[in-house]
Amino acid sequence: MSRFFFRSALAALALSVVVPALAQETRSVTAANGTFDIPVAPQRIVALNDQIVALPLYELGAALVGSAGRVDAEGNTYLRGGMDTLGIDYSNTDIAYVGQFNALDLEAIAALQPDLIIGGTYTDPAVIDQLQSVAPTLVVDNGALGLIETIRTLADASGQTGNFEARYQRYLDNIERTKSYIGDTSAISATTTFMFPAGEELWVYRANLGAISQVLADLGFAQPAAVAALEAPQAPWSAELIQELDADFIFGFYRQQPDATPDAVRAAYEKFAPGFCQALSACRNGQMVLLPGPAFGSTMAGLDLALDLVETHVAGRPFIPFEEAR
Amino acid sequence: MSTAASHWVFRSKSERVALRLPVRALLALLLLALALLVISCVSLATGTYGVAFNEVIDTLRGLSVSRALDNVVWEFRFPRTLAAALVGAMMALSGAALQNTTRNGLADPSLVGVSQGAALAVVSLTVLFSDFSGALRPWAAFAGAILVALAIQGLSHTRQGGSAIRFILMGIGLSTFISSITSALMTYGDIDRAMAALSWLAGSINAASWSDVWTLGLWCAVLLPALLAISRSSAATRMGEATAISLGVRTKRIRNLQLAIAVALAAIATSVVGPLGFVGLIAPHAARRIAPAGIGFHLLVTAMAGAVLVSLADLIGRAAFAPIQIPAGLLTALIGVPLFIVLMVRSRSATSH
Repeated sequence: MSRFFFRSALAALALSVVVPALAQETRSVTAANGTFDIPVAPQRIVALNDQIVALPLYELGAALVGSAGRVDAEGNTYLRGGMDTLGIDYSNTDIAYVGQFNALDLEAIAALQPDLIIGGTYTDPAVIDQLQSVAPTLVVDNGALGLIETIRTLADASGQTGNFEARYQRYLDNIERTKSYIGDTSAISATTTFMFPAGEELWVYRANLGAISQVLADLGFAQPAAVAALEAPQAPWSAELIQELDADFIFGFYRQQPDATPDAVRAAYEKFAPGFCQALSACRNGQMVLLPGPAFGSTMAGLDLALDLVETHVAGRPFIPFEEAR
Repeated sequence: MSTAASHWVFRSKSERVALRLPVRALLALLLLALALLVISCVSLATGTYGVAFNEVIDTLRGLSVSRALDNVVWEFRFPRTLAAALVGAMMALSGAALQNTTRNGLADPSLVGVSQGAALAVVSLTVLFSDFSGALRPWAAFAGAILVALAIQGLSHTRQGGSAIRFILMGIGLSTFISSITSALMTYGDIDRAMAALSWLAGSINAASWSDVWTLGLWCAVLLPALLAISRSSAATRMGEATAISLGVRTKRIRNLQLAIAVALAAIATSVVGPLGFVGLIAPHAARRIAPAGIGFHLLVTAMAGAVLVSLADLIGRAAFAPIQIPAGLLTALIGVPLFIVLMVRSRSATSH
């Protein structure tokens, strides 16, 4: 009996030596800011952006211990899109707040003793340099990579490639299903707009507005000529040129911030350009659709949601085609 | 050595060195130095990374409590504390030198385009060049600041020579023009890259490193003595050009030298932490109201007042609402302006009695 305990104790001791050794196993990865040795299976990851980095990492099952977040008007911290998209926030997870993405608390990050830190081109380069002394700090250029490659890169860095590829394949299968319902998707035009409740500026997106841009591109929808000709992925639009936005469908968003209710956003479009709805056939025909915030997010869940919503509005009911865009 | 009621007179044995030091300014300088020491100690002991003060002291003595704590104290807190004090002193000195040169109490580094030039250079580099390295930022900011200051100086120069009011008007005009280009880049450039420049634009000491401290310290050690060395001639120029010339001062040379030092001080400070508003404007006036003194001593009190102001702003910004971080640049005005108003009101009451 005593020999059994002795052997067990010896085995436990050997295991305790081996496990940390395995945890230290590293591999080389190349990010936008260089090549780094990172753990093969990171156990303590800190995200320097909530919406773009933390949410996709969390939904893929990565070991996320901290994330940058936002501060609301009452001074409470929150993960932008967290509750809306995945039902998570600082209060119901073990994710610690480490400052805002442009005002990071370096000590809070160091206190978490991370083994991997992930930021983006929106992170102050001087802060990235400082954080290298805490843990390998990768910059993922989400603007250049696009949504899918960004999530694939995050999955690879966090050791969750298998989870990502399974979900991505399911999404691609669903894209094919939706295409089969719609038919010739290139004959359908769609414009993606973004409006805050203040109604001061209208932004139009040719690309890079998270999940919705990815879904519309994967479905093969066309864009109005003025939007397709945009050099930048997005541009503020003049109220005098709103007719150039007309298409079979115009998408906008609500729930991008607490006061962005559907009514408030609709009123904002009218405030920005009085008579907005009458000027656009898509709006007159009930084909200007406001989608909830997670549909422009940067997660696999956002992709699934955006695809379902587009399928419902385009394939799930009859619509009146916009003649001039053809 | 002898003492008068309000001055302390020091003479060396051969009387090669003779100093007449104002007691009130000397006391003010000591009190400000003490305040800076206290703020620095509190700053070293305060942060999101929970640690006892004695552990901080042990770490500073070279005794390693833990690798993580070594990192926090040596790589984050210590350089940040030193950088805050140095940047504050340099911005304040720049403001004082500009106010002396232009003989205008409203002059500060943003007036001569230093902040705006640095901001435009950094935002351009960040937004337009995707492979931009953070290490290049101080150099870009410095180059931008110097170029704009030189442009303002060149454009305000006429055949009759430089005029203070022309210099100020040209500074305001060109600074506004440059700010509008920066705003356009921030609005219409790649949004992610524009975001990366935001914390620097807000005047954040968050990412100060040892190389920043060495840069600031070295230039401070060169430029402060240079400013003190020309302080007697500068004092004469404050009485007007004709009087200064009659006293044997080469006014044009002194004016240009003072301007060059002021621009260099602000450009170097801005290149490291971004534009810090109001320090250059407030600190010289505050120093004058705390303890009126000759120009040399006024510069020392001004530097110390600036160091205290920015150190306090940085400490409050990172500790008061932690882990929410407020850039020092936002707080220098919030803390400095009320203090400045109190000093102004008190000095007005004293004058009216």
